[in-house]
Amino acid sequence: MIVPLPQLLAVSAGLFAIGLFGALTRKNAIGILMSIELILNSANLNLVAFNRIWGEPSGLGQVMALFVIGTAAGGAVVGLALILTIFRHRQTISADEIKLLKG
Amino acid sequence: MCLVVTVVGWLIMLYSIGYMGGDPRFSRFFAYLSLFFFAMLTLVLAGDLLLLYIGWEGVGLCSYLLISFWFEKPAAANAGKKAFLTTRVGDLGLLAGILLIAKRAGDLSLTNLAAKGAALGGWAPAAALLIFWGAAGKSAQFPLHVWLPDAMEGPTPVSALIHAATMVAAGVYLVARTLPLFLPNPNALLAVATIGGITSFFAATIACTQTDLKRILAYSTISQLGFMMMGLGAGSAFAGIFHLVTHAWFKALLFLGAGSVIHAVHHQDVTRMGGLWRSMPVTALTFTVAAIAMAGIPPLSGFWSKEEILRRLAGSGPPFLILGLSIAFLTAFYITRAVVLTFAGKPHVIPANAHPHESPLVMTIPLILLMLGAIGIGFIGTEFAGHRFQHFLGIETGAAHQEHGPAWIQLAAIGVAVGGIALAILRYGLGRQLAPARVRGSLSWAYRIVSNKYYIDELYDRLIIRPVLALARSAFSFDAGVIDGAVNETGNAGLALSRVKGWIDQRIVDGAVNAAAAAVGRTGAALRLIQTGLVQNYLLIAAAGTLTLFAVLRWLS
Amino acid sequence: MFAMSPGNPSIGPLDLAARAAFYGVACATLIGAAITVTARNLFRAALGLALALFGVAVLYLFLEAEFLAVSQLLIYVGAILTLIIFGVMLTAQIASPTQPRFNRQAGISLALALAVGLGLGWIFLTSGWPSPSPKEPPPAPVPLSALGRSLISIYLLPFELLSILLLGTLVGAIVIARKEKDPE
Repeated sequence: MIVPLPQLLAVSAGLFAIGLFGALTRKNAIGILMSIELILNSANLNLVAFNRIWGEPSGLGQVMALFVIGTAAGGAVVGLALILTIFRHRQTISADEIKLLKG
Repeated sequence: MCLVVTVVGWLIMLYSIGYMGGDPRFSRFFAYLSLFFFAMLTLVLAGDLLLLYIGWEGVGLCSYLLISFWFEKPAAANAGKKAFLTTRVGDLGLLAGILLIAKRAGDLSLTNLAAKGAALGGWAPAAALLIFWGAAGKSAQFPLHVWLPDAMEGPTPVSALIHAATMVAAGVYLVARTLPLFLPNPNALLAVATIGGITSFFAATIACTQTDLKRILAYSTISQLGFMMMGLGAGSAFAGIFHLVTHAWFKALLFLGAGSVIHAVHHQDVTRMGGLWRSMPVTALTFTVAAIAMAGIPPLSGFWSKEEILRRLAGSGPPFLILGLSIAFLTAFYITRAVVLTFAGKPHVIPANAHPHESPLVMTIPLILLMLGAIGIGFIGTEFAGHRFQHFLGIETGAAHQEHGPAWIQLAAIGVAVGGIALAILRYGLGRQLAPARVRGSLSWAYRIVSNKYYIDELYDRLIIRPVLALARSAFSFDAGVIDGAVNETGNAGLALSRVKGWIDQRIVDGAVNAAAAAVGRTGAALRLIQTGLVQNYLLIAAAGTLTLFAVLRWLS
Repeated sequence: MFAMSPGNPSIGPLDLAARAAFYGVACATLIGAAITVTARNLFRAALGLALALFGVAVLYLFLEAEFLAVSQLLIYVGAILTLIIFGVMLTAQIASPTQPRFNRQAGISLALALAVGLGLGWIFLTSGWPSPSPKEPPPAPVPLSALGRSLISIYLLPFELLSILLLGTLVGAIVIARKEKDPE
């Protein structure tokens, strides 16, 4: 079957909004990381959907999504490493207690 | 020329090891000497006028450094300054000449000067005279000769080097090298010959009256240089260069011998010397040989070159020939006088603590080698050696040279030389007066003039140095009174103006600046509130901004 | 076939079932996402993320992107999620009741997220997407072979760059997270 495009895009918009809300509000740094993964997934969903509807023959949309997954994996690894280091130094991973950027 | 510089220069360096031994600036002296040779060889080997000029100036600089080598002595320092400034006057002419040639002929190489002379057209005599002006400065020709006797304040090897072998020869060399420029212009040649003759004669007469051994030699150098210039002015590069080469040998020998004498007796006054041949035989022998060579007695070297010049002068007219012969006579006279006063007779006044002794080997060996050169070097230019020197130079070929000129010139040359020597021996060796007392009395004014070097130094002092100093002084007082006053008043006005400006600055400009700064500070303090350092704050702001942006774009489209 | 107009006559019972399944998966995905951002217990949040990621993978299947679905399961659910759960375990502050879930900007963030979501949904639903005419058949899905071929031909350079990036993150993560030596 062919998935109805607007509905699919609506799902992706919902994922994005929920992810954005999480990224803006979660106190826990790992929670923020998970929210960001949600946002990336919503973008991926869009890419794949558009690729399917327009039928780009080389599969550019899917390739882009693959790259995003790969990059997200890298980001998650580095992010978690940072979080671990911060936790080791400060015994907290609450984002609003980390104010190193405060001028 | 290159050979002369290197060989004679080498002997002088060897000699200097002995003469300068124990001097606190021993190494510096040899550094200067080496630099001097470098510059001199650059000058000699240069293929175009520009490079030659570089070497020329280098030689001038080194002569300044060497003459004022003992700069603790005010006389030496002044002599160096005088030499430098006087030659500078000459260098100005040379530079102008080079620029003129560069402008008109467009090419400074020394190869095809005759063609260049043609290209110069009406400017050729001017260029030639400018170059001769430069040469006159370096070779101590008539109006610019004053620096050379004073340059005797330098160490004696330097005197030998500068005056005999190389530096002053540079001027003669330059004129000989650029002679094709002179040849088509009889007036330029005449000027060269005239200046040379005047210089030569004046210097020879002065040399007859001096009592300082080195000054006698210095004036004789000037005289001989003038003689060379006469030869060049007669249109023969060969005659000038030939005499230059022979002169380099015997004059270097004379200077080094004089240095040896001075080294032994610690003063330079010939009237207080005498009888030195007993204590310094080698020096006496070599000095005498050099003197005979200079006087022009065959078969020593001076005779051949001098005779060559005289023969050329015969072609220039009787006045020049007579002048040349009288110079030759005077030369023989004054050099014999010097020899007789120094070495012959009884020991004069000798300081009790100074026992004259022969100089060390490192000084006498160069003397002997130079003596051999002074005897033999003349043969390379004679018919006995097949005119090898002429062929070597390659300047003059053809029948014009082979013809021998009147034979009586040779005889006359020998005659005046012998006459000069005999007269000198008669006067100074045997103590006879040459003229009745009445004549001498009436001529004493002439003697006074001559022994005071024709008052030329005094003339320059009156005419140039004092007016320049007075001008400088008046310029100074003008500076102090008018310009300084103006400057000070300007300064005061500026001060008052700046006070006004200072008030404006403080009240208005500073006020504005402070207000601006305070405004910025307050804005910053307000903006600082949103710099929370919280990542999520920033993210929120970014998201809100993006949303706003999209809304605006949507609304606009 | 595009379901742009509700009155499409070609909707059959199979289509209806598939459509029901799609809506079900979509709802599960959104619910998983909501759990991810709201759960007080971080471990539970991770499980919600797993649900959401799994739902997205199924959505990929609906879009006939099988390879991507498998990659999603392998990399996201298999690797990244495991990593995140490790992080949760290591940082040990899984659920403390005293700690608020959200920070102080929760209200405004909620408003912003709602605005973004509604705005995006509105745009997506109201945009007149260019659609081929109903007479033409829908484009075929990208076959797996074509995807693989394009990955090693025209997208080779970004592909290799990605591998270099992953290597860099590997090394970087080790350097950042390793135990520092004792100063003594």
